[in-house]
Amino acid sequence: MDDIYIDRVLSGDIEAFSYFVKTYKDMAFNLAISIVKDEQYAEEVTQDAFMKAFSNLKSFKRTSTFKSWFYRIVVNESFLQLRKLKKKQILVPIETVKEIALEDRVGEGFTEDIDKIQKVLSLLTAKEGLALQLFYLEEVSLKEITGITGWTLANTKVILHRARKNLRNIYSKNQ
Amino acid sequence: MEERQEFKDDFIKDFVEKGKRKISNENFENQIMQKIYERTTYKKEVVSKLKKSMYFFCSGLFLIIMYIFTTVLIKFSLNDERSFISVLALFFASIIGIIFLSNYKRLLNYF
Repeated sequence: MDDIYIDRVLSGDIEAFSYFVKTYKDMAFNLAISIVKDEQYAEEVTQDAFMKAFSNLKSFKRTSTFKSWFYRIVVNESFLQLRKLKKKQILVPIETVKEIALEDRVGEGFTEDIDKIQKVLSLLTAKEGLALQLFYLEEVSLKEITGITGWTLANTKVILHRARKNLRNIYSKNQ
Repeated sequence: MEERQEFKDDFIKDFVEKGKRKISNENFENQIMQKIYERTTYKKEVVSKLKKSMYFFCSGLFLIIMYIFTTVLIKFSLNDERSFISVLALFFASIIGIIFLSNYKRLLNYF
């Protein structure tokens, strides 16, 4: 399906690109937010990723799926944004965020509603959050994750193990 | 398949799925498509201006080269010693022409 729309965009039908925006916007947003941890910046990253995908569609060689190619763009854009934010020192170190978030929940009792799940997920590091999103939400294989992120297979496995462990720890501390 | 088994964790999967978000900006698609249209129009304009500019540059360069070439031939026929300067000018005009044209090509490829 993607290939048909790619051909249409390449032949000059710009409107056909809206198919990709509709199909992948939430996926891209989820990936971006798992890295930059902020809705506003994640939306910016998603926009930039779509613009980049549109500009570079000619260079997409179709050796992989459009989805994996686009994942790679989103991940690269997100880490780029993260580096910019760190340079500007806009982001609070993750350890501080953890402390603040845990303090916030003292006395309120941790119930499993969506808002709190999202807060717990935001306490993971960028790499851990990304690994969980790709493997469990998008159901990407480990090999594909290595292609998207540039991590080695062993490193990907370590990050996934650590992410699961950290998520359980944060969750259990708040129950 | 094996890797799925190795990392199979229903709790985490369920947790991540529940934490899935959606873009709150309802106008998101329109904004992106608008940006894409603007960029495409901008690129088209730039390419058309570049082509025009390249056309005028090539015409100018051709005229200059032809003029110098003619003066060189005339000076040679008159056995003028200053024809060396004309040859030098012809050489530099060609070099500048090549550099400018390669830059034009690069710009056109970029857009």
